[in-house]
Amino acid sequence: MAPTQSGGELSVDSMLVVDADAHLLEKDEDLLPYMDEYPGMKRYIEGASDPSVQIRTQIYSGPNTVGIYDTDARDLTSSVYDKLKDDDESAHVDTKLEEMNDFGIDVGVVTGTTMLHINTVNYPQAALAYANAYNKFLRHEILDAHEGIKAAALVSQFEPEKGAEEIDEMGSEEDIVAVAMPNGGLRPPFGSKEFDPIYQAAVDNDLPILLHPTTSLGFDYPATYRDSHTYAESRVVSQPWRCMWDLTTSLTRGLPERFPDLQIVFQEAGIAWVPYTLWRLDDTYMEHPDQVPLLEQLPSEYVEDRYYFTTQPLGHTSGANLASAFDLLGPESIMFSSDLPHGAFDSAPEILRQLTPHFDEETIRAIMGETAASVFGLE
Amino acid sequence: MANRTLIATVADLPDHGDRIIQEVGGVEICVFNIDGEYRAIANYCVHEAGPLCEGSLTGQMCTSDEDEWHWEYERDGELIECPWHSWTFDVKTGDNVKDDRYSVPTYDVDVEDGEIFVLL
Ligand code: FES
Repeated sequence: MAPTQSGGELSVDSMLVVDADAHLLEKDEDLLPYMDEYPGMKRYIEGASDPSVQIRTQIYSGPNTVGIYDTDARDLTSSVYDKLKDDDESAHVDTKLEEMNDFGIDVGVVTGTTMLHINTVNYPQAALAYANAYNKFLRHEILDAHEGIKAAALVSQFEPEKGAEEIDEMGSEEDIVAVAMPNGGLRPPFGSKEFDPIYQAAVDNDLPILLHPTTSLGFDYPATYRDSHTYAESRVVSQPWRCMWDLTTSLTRGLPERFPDLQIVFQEAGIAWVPYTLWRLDDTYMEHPDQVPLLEQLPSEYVEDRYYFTTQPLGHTSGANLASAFDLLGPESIMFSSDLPHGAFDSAPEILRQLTPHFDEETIRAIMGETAASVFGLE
Repeated sequence: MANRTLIATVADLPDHGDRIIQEVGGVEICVFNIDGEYRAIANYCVHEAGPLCEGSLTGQMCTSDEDEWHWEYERDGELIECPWHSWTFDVKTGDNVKDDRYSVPTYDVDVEDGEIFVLL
């Protein structure tokens, strides 16, 4: 860790800034026109008075997002940036570009918003329908619209061979740079062999997998969630817990041995939980050798090679503490992310300001964009 | 020339798995009978300095060559598992089974006229 030596000020304008966790604000109405391949589910979703509850189980009864962000709690597609009032096909792209412009972001790697709940559906068929429709929506309305917007092909956890088909179908699109496998509600967990068709297709198409958790505990820790009094307390633990579980199972179940070329990106859980979890994983690897026969090296060594973590939400602490956390994990495994336009977003210039005193320019450039450019194969 | 120290007799260690721990030159050394061969290894775990050789002889879970997924068990009785936190080492080489950057000293053994010597 060495302070920046360069004479000039480092700014978001002087470097490539890639947002490794950006979102679209797609609604059911955006996706339904692309759902003809799944007429049964299209009928259910169209007929639902609130698909976010009836189809996607997006909101559990309980604290969840009620009353936060000053928006209708059930409408996760609302935000300060919600300018999607008109039905204009370019509205999603225009909105995203506006956000990126405001925060000095050159490239945004987008996943959905409502589609983060694809694995909490009541009807597995609905998840397949959503994934297929969302990918078509990407193809028709998002991809090729602007060189700064890249996207991840969406898969659900159901019928993994269908997920593989989605990946193969989308993999040839230049602007598809990853596979989105939202991990809120993922069951069985990420490391499971059941998902191998998805992982094989990701490797075949040279695409990293993005794991994006949700803030509701209900899907992943229902017993705990029942005791949760507020959204606030659920939010603190939900994302890192989920990611700890998936990081753990991916390693204990030997995912990096099954797919040595698979790159994995954990989103929206911040950074500081990772070194702690890796220490525990390495400790467990050594203390329970018989339980991890699938692994041939320390879990942390696999992670160093092919796992990445996006920065947002960094949490509230000093720049020095952030820098220490980055150092503990290894800055080469870290990619800047904003989460825009969601309410918990981090600002690129602000993160840059906090990191600048603690790292050399090359490291900062890597975190802000260069590592992502290489992981996502950006030209 | 190595120091040759009498540590046990063959009669002390008649069966596979028998062991004897003796201090030699300030180091606690354990001699095991592993399938009729005598092996000497430090009674010292490089994890947190536990008494390694007071643990159990064990084997190792591994994956089948065929699919690298299903579990099998091999080398039963060739490995020593530390009684403190279960770090497990190959008695012959001293290497940890999960990471050979961690290794416990082993010592050459001479058997002569029913007596077992370690060479330090
Ligand atoms: S001291 Fe031997 S395993 Fe911890």
